[in-house]
Amino acid sequence: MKAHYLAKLDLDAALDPQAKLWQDVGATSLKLDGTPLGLQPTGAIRAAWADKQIGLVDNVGVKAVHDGQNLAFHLVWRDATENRNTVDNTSFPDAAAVFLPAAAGAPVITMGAPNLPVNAWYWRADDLRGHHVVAEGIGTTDTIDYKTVRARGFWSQDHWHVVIARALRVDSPRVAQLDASISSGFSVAIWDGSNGERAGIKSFSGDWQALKLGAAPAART
Amino acid sequence: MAKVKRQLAMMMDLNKCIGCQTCTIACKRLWTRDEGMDYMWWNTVNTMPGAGTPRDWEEMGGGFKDGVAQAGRLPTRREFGEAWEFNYQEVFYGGKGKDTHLKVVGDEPEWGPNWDEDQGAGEYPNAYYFYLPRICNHCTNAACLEACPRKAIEKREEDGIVVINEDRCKGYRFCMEACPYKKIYFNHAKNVAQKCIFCFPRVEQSVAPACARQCPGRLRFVGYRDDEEGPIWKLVEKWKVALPLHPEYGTDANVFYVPPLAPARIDEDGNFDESQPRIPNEYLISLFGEEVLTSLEVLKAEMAKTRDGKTSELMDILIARHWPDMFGDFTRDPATIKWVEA
Amino acid sequence: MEQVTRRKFLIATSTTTALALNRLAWSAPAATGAVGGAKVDYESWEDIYRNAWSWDKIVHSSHNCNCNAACSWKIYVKNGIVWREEQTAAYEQTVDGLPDFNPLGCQKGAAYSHEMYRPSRVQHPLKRVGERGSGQWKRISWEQAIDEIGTQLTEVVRDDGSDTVVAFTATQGTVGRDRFVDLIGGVLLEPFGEIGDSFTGTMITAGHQCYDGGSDTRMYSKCIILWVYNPNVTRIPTAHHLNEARYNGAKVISISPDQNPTHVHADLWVNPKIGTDTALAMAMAHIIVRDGLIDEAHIKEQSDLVFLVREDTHKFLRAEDMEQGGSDQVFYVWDQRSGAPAQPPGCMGSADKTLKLGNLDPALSGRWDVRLADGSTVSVRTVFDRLKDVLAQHTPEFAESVTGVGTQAIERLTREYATAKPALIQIGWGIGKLYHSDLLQRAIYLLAVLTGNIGKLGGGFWNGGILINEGSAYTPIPGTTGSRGGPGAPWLYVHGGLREQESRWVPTPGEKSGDDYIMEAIDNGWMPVYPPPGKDPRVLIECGSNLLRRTRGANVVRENLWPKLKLVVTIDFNMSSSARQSDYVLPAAGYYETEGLKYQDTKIPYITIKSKAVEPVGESRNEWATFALLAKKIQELAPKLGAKPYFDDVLGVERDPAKLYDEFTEDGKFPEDADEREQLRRMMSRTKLFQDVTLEELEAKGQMPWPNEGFKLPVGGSLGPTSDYEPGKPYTPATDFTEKKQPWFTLTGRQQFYIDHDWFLEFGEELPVYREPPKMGGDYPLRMSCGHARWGIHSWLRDNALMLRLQRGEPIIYISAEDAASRKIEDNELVEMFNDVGTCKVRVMVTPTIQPGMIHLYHAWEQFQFREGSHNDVYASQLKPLNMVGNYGQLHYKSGYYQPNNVDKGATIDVRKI
Repeated sequence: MKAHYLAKLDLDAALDPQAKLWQDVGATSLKLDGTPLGLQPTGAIRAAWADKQIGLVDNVGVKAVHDGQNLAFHLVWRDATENRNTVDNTSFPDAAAVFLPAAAGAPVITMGAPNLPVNAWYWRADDLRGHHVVAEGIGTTDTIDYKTVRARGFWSQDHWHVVIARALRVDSPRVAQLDASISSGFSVAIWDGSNGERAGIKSFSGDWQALKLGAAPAART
Repeated sequence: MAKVKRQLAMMMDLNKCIGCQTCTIACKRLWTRDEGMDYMWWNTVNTMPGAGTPRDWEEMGGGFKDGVAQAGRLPTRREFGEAWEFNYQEVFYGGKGKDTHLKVVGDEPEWGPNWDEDQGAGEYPNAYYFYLPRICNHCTNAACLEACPRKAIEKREEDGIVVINEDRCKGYRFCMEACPYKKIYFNHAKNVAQKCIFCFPRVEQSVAPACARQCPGRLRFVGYRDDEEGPIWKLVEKWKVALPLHPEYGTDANVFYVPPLAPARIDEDGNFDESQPRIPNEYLISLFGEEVLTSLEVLKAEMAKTRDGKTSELMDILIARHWPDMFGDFTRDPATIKWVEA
Repeated sequence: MEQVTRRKFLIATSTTTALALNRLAWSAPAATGAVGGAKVDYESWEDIYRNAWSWDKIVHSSHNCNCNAACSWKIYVKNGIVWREEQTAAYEQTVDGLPDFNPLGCQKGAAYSHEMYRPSRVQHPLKRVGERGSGQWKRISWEQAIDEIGTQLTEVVRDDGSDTVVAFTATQGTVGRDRFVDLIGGVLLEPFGEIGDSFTGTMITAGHQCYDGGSDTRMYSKCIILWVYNPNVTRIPTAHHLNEARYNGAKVISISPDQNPTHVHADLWVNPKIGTDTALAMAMAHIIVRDGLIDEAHIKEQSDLVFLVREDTHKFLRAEDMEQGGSDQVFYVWDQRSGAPAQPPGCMGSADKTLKLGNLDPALSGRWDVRLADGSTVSVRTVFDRLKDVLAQHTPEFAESVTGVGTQAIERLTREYATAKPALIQIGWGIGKLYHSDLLQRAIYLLAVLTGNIGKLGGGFWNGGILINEGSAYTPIPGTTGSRGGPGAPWLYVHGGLREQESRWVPTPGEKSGDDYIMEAIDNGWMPVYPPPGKDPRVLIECGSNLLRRTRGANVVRENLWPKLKLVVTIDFNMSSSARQSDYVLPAAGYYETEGLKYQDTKIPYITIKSKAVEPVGESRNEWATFALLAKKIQELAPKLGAKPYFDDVLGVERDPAKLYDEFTEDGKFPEDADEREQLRRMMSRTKLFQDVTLEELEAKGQMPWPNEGFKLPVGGSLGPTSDYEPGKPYTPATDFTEKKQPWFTLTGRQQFYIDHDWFLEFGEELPVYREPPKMGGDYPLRMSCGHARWGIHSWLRDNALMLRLQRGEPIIYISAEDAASRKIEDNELVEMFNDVGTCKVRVMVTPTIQPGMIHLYHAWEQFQFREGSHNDVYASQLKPLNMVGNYGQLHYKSGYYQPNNVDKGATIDVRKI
């Protein structure tokens, strides 16, 4: 997928999923599958989900734009219920994340591996803050801060529309550092809160998809 | 299974519990006062037979069967019992006189953590009930520990207390589904799971847990499982009268109970009927396993000894004339601690 | 949400080594490190919990509620606020071998730190701006409140007389209130009968109201019967002694119609139909006598069962019958040695004040002819024989037909009790709330006397047990005049408009109605009523009292009494049912906000300090200050408003309102801002119980064992020790009589079962006998039972959120599965409870633990917790005429003594689906 280049990316504006800038960007449709039961890391989780469907959301439309400074993803998926409130024990928020490798060879299927971190830019419907997350294997996710990633979402007519954005490069170890000249990979995960989805119980786009940051148009002479 | 050097345990004598809930309030006033904790009662006392807290928890699954994790479900706040607030301002100062009365703000309650207090089961005059206090069992084979994909739940090496590392916890709540005793709560404000901590800050200072120390019924013994001089070992290993609750849940609980006796039944002529116990054996077996029948026989035999004027080690342990003897190494008076600014 | 400050800490103690500083830099296994590598100072989750358990200071205090316990608590203060409390738990065993009293304290005490900071607490003086009860209040200053109230009080004293100023002692006596009411010449209505706590039967029999032994001495019992007594609910701090006694070999037998929480840990439970217990007790007495299981020695020396009764008049044979100028308070036994009637010593009129029989050997049984002073001859029989006649009617078969308890159970119960040495019967405060409570108490007491268990360690007859005479309002205070006191129930009968309602179902033997008897007793002055009937009360001061919550027929009282009152003032922590109907509400300082002592109770032989931990919340004040300020205002206004000095001819003292403050403060020694600790010190110095005990020592320890038994009241007393006490000696009551052979405080000087008062003879109750509970309330199929709750001490905490969350949030009544089914009522449904007296809407719990034919409810729900009506509206309380007798030996009114009860157990009602 190509992240379209914009001369100037006004992040505040871009965080509105209905901003005009998104309308000119083509979407890539990604098929999503539920994470396999066998990959769930504990017996209790495997037992609880043995007879339930993991990953209700089966598709997400993705757009991306950047201006060499910041990169923003626009996600749209179908979800019949808006799950923002998490007061009750059984309430889980709808959520989405874009995964990027933080090291060459980092495996996304296992959420990274020791010394091979993956970096997630994570939005959840019960939090106005974006979460900047790293992981080095299943069960090791760490939210390293709540400032670097910005995210916003709204739900309407059975669909979530979410924008998640971050600077291409940040002064932090273990996270993805992006460059317009480098090809990267990305992956998307969606959690449907109404189905009790959280942690490894999610819909997932699978192995890394190609992510190319579009170049600025050549200067005309 | 997590390896520990020593394991702390608690023993509760159900022949002494009077359902006063002092333990419940003691814990509440100490630990669960902050945001998100309003509905939490880490210690509960329920009338049994009864639906318990959370409601019908014994049907919510979790635990292990033959070593294999079983599916469990999450109890809602309602099932635990919401933290009802009341319309005091309106009633006292709202100027509405008789047009209003004190009531719960919001929906009319349908369940609470002690809703079926003293309700009991059976038929008059042979209905039966007793009180069952419960805390986290700090299981040796904790289902919550197994369930957490983040390994955010640990057993402390020095004393076996099962703790949720709230810095690691992300509020996934698989532990809540997995715990067959349904003793874990979710704090939505902090987005973490929380539960009884066996008062580890007190225990670390040799002070007994608040629920035990503050119990006016004097029914809660505290000690290390391996301490052969202490009451826990004697009641669990030597006398074998103290049993874990629902051993079939497969988690190796470290909280034990002396099962309850009850007064003689009454027949249709209004006379005593001692041909069968008031609390049906099947019911106690369903809670404590078959061993409960032996446990009750031992209890009755030793009570018969003291009725005859003879001495009984078991009775002396359970009586605990000298209250500090109930708490093993944890007899320190908290007032001897002086806090100093670092 | 309370503010809790997290602090880093380093523990320094004398017994543990200080912890290493690196503990503060605890690192979690997977460090949630900081952004960009910068080190962030944070507390780990474990340190947050550790730091939460910390405090600035600890104060020893208690709760001055009316709970019959005196528990020492450590109050933990953090940042100037009470953070929480935990029992002091430093009690040593009173005697080696007995379980100690630790930790002592209940869930209510553990919740007080929550209660005292309720946002809805009354924190400022309030004045009503709408109708009484409208809930419309204006906050005013203390100055304005004192000014307006003081003015109105002065005017009432001037215009209506100080005997129209009324206060109820209720259950939280305070020195300030009682002193003020006393000195102003007002009326202080005492609580026992008004609440329903008067142990009429005990006073009839023993001349003493309350007595029981040390809770731990039950370890000596071999059989303990709990009768109309629910200690698992109402004696939480000491209930453990019962369970320990059971493990130690005592048979525990619980008697109640319902399967209450106390029956849960009993060996035997006996379930007579509600209100029929006396038949059971009498059948037990029947069996004891039948099988010869009596203690003759005890009966002969300590009871009137050997006294002689004339067959013609049914009165005791008296000295006045036998000799010219003989006393009417000296009696006779038949001495077997001399074969003649003889005067035993120790009667009320005897010169020799001892029970030692010397050479006398009274006959237990027999009929003889004696020659009277006037030359005639009469037949006499012993009381014992007359008792046997009555017992002959009270067979086990009769008891079975009335109570539903089988004859085999009755035989077994009796044998268990009568063969156990020693055996103890305990009754509770609830017994007074049965109409024929006196008969039940007398019958139960009879069992203890027949078997000789009185005065035995671990045995006997225990009831209430309060030793109020030390360290509280009842301590003789210098300068007081004795108070125009009176029993509350007759007062409300006259002034509360309850005459019709409270006499409607009083059973009487002949033409005279219940009201005839009751008013005769009042007109005779047997039960004093001030102001007298015909003169209306004008001022009501509620302090430590919640009249409209507790009074049976509260709606009638509100309708009849309130219009007479020019002024109603409530001093309280919360907006209680009574506060709501007041003109002014003044905020009272809470338990941890004042200095004090908790009253003594013979069950718990320890002195308990109640120290101040924090300043009074909001603008609340301790009551001494409030009443001192009122006294000051009255003193100031009296000359201006023309409230002159006058002679109080009832109490025989000169009164001058212009000197009220001087008298109240003892000429300025104890003003409104008096040092509370100095007041305590003074109170302690005046009481025997605190001799050699310093305030500082008590404050440091929180509690100390009694050094002695305290001040023994003079003859005719009702509350106070009946044995000596010394540390290391277990306290058992009645040894003054059984061992020291001092006469009992009765007409016969003994435990008295024959009451030859004309009224008792008229009603046929000269001996204990079974009487059917009257259908008070009308012809309805169900009977009400009521008891004290575990969730409050009277109305204190009844509306506390933590307590309510552990119940159903609102009042409920308990109905049997059978009665619910026939009415198609389901659990938690809202139903209507009704009888001829009133109605109330309330939710039900359907439970198989309730006896069919009865409805149970726990008491003290505030009126405002009901949707419509309240349970008080169906309490068809009736006053029993015999409990108003005032001219017979031990049957006379004085404070804390013989008076009629307001009752509710056994009221007839029905319940219907709405």
